[in-house]
Amino acid sequence: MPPTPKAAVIIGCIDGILPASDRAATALAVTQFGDVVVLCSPRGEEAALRYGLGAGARDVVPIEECNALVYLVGRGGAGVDGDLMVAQLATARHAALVLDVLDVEACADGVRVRRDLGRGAREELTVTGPAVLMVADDAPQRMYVSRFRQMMAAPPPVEAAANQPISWGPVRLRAKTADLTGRTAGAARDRMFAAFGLNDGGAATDAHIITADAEVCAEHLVRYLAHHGFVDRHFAAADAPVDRSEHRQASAVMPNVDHTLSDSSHVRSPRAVQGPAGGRHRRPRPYRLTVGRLGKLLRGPRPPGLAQPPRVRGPFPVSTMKVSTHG
Amino acid sequence: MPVNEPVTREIMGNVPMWLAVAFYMAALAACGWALLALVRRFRQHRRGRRAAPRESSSWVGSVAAVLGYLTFHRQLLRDRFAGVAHILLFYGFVVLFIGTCLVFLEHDTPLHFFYGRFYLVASLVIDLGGLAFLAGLSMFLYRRLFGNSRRILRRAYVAALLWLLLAIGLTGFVLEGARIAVDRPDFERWSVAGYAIGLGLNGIGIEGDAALRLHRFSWTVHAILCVVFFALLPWGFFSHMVYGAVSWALRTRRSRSTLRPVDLQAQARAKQVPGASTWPQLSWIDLLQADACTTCGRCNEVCPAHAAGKPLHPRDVVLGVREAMDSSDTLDLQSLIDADVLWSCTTCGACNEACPVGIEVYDKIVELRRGTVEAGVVPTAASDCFESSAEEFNPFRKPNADRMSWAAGLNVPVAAEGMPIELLYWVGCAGSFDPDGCSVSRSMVKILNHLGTSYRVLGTRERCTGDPARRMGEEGLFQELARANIVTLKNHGVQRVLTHCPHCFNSFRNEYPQLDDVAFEVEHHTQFLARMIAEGKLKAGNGVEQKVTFHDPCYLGRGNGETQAPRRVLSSLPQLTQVEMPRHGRESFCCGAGGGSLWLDVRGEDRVENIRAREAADTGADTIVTGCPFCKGMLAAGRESLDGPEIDVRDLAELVVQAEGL
Amino acid sequence: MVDSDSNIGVWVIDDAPSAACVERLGDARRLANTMGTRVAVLLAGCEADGRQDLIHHGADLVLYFVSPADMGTKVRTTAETIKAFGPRVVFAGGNAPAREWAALVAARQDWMLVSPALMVDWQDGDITVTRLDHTGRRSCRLTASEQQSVVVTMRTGVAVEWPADTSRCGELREIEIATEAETDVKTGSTSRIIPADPATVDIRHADCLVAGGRGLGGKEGFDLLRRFAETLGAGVAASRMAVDLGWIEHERQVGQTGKTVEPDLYIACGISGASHHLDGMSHAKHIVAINTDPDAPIFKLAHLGLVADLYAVLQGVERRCR
Repeated sequence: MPPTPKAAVIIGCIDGILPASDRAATALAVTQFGDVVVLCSPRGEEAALRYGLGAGARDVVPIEECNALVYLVGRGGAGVDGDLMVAQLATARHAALVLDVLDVEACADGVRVRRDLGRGAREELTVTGPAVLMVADDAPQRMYVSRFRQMMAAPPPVEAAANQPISWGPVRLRAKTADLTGRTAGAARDRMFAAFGLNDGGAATDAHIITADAEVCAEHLVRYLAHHGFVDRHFAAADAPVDRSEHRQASAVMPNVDHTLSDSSHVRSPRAVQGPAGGRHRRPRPYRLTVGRLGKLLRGPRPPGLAQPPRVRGPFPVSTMKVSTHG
Repeated sequence: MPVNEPVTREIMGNVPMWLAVAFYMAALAACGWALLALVRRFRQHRRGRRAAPRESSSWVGSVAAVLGYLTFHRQLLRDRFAGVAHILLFYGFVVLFIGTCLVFLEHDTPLHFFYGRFYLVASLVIDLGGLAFLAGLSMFLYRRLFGNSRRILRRAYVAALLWLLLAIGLTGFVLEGARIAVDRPDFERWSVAGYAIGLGLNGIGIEGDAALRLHRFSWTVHAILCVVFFALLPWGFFSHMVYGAVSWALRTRRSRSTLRPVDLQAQARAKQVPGASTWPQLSWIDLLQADACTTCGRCNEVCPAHAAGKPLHPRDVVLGVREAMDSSDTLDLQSLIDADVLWSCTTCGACNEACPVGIEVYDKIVELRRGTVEAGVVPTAASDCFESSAEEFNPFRKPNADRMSWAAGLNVPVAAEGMPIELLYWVGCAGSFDPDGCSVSRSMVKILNHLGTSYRVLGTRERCTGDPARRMGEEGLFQELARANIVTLKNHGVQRVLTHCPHCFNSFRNEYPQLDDVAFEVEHHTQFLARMIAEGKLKAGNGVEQKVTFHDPCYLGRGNGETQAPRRVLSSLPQLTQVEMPRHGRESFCCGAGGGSLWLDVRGEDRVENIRAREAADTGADTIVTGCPFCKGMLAAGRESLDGPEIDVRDLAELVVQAEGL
Repeated sequence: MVDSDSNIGVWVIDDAPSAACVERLGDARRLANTMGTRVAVLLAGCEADGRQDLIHHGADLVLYFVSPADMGTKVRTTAETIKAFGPRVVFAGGNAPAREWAALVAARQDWMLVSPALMVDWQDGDITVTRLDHTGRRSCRLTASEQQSVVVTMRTGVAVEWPADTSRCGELREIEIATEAETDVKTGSTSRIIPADPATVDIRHADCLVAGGRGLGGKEGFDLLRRFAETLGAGVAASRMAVDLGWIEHERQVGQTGKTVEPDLYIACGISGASHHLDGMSHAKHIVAINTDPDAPIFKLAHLGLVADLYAVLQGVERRCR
């Protein structure tokens, strides 16, 4: 009877590709829990199994037979059901459920988990007992599994029913909240190409270039910023809407936390907190929803991991093993 | 000695028997020891992995190559001073060695020839040889002591070996002079230097017995030093005399930018992990080459990463391998050669080109990179490129569906599946996704359409050739992409491939045939344009009134030997004046993008592209012309750092478009 | 009691009556109106502030309980409470702890879960939910049939609040935690929140960025830029040139070899706009460029271009916004 594996990795492919969160989950499991890792792929995709085995997972078992202490699940592993699948697993195994995991550290009595709370805030949890950890899409990639290693892995055939794939369509924004500028990712690329003269009379850039003295330019800039809601030139009195907006900003970040913590540090505009002092009373601009922002909301920011440098592609440190003192 | 004695000298006449015997025994022991050490080291080399199958070169050819090299010293003469010094030193050494052999034959075998005219001529030649030897040596010592060469390895043990040789040379002359000083026979004038020394010694009162004593003393010292020299032969930079010759004989015929073929299936069967983390995982040729290193530092001198102050010192990579061989088998090479060193390399191949003993430095760096990839620890930029290449078939992290967006507004014929293609215009990833590259693609399409050539592009079915992945050490990914591309090209029956990217050009021309039979020919767009102009199909009538300098892309010029075609194109453009940068042609200085450095960006004191942009600006040119989309982007970035007047960066195709008025 | 307790088909669950909760309440109210049912809010927290506001913003019933230490109890209490009312749709929050709560409730009750969701509609007895994929750029519509209940999670800013009507009345009721001898879900024993620090927060998190390049002329330029950025509540970024010259740390570098950012506002000061830089910020929503060189490539990408001395312009703006 093989010993209870300490960790299990649940990964799968989506559209034939193993998502980044699944790769991160595998890396976390292998680096933190050594070789007592078993691999489950609910739909039995060969690519996922090859990856897991190539990374160093010990074994492949079906989920039903898997009884680990810690489950690291990627988005591909969760499949179409997403959060529901991991919740069902947690309920069945009497385990804690943690979503948006960025980093995991095995410790004496359980696991230390760092997870994303949104907008740069993080939460560190220590979980004793069984845990189901769903890894965030933006978790840092700690390990690379070469194609050779994947090729060399010999996954056993796994019988599993394939999920009904979702047919995705484009997003149509809600009429009430939409700032229907029509700007999509394509437009950004067009604009960049236009900047290099690659579109022969392509996308209209509607650029507005002003050559004038500094004062005139400053005036134009302020008007532009005000028009788009980045600054508010008219001072508003302290009233309910202002209240709520501040409240909204605060609670959006830290729902479970005592509101005394919600000082203005996380608020984008450093307003003097609700006071007459300074007289600079600014209403944050209305939060308009766009496709880009929607994407950003759901993708969330990518804060650095526990003891690892952030995902920076720039100069030093090149080695991913060096510890960064930043962030 | 009586005047009418025969014209010869008594060999070892002044040397007592016990000394002679001792000398012979010591010499034999030293030689034996050296031989043993050499054999043991060769055996250690053999513990490395099997070398990749080499192209051609028979036995005879290799030996001839070595002899030719030693005779003419062509590679060494690139550095005039060092080349001349080495010629003197080498030929002097050879002559002295032959002289010693003659003396040995005369003394220890029944042969008898060392007299009369032969003796006189031999004496002269040997003396001249000795003078040459000392002259060469003095040049080297002078450079070390008073010169400011930055590339030589200033270490005590290297200097000590030079001083040893100097001492051998000097004592040799002293003992000859002392011998002649005994009675100064007239015929000894033929030993010009010896005679002069003899004269000098006589002048200060040393003659007869005193001279004999001096002779014996200096003979003894000379003998001891020679024994030491034999014993040290396999050590320090003396070893290049043996290993260097072997290394040169085994020198590859591959083009400078091509890596060795790798058989992953065979490695898988042999349970070998690709790449090297410890020294026995390197091929035996790599290990041999590490021992051949003369520590000359030419590789450091030409390395662009080193010039930019990045951590990479190519010589240290080679010497690091050598040091690893002296330590344990399981020593992790990363402890000697840091990861930052490895990831600074731009794979330009200048080090391989510059090495006088044929060491393949850049191949070792790629092997070590492969080792880190297999170990799973790579910089995020590298793993991003790999994942992107695997999922979206390009290293730029752009979606594959956008692959044809560069062609907006142009009439570009895309091939449908299964359609036979005679001429394929391969756009490449830079040509599809990088704005600098896109302008090159657009120019080429305009030219092709104007010429009315029948061609096709593959559109979104094009995949990265795998060159960045291969250079960064992901051999498996490269082979996957390559095989897929080969199949695609086969299915279309492609006969000719035209590409504007030297990396794609190199992959198709040299690296794809390593994997599978390919039936197509490859042409780079500079060659194509040169051909079109020569055949009169492109008139290039509009004046291009600019002063241009051509930046040879590493993978085109040095890597594949094509330096003339772009210059022919430039010469045929009216009103255009060409100037050359100091480092051009095969000695071109890298732009800094290769080997994944475009994304990896290891920090140095300066930037490679800034250095090159300054070099270009110093020629006084208005425009830098190049034949590679990566070079174009890098130089455009480098030009930002310049203070002076704005210098333009254009691709050759763009100039031709301007000249054609398209 | 049964009468008033029945016919509550739409629920909103949250830890506190936050602005995000109010938004979702708005969506719930509108949905309930089309369905002809009522809306209730379940709060896992006992602060009195704001509960009445919820009534004003559309809730018919507000239930609250003392937030228990472990998730298991919270889930059980939620499930037991809500299911008694025969809910069709439950709205939950979009951040990680809220999604955990929602998912565990759905798992426990075998309800459908749509996370994250964009909107919920009702038509002829069927609930249709628009689900978003993880990038937020694609959607699909899912239908819950008549017998099915569905839990949806929505991120802040997706839903729209119902305008406050202080004349509305509703009921506020405290409920008891459902205790059980054995808890079926163990949760983390300790938790520590690390809030984002705006001075060092990653530039990719910022909604607005002010970036400096070679045109700043020196390290001191970045001090001025920082002050200006503070006025706007923006983060500070830089081009590769500025980082190379040592004026600012490389964590703030934007570009092909730095970070890719997608802020709502990007003000490029003294940046010429080489392709490697543009690659890192071309997706910004509003791009403003200030540069003395009218031919700088960045002007072709910018929505607003100013050819003037950047220090004077920034000072002018600061003065006007004070």
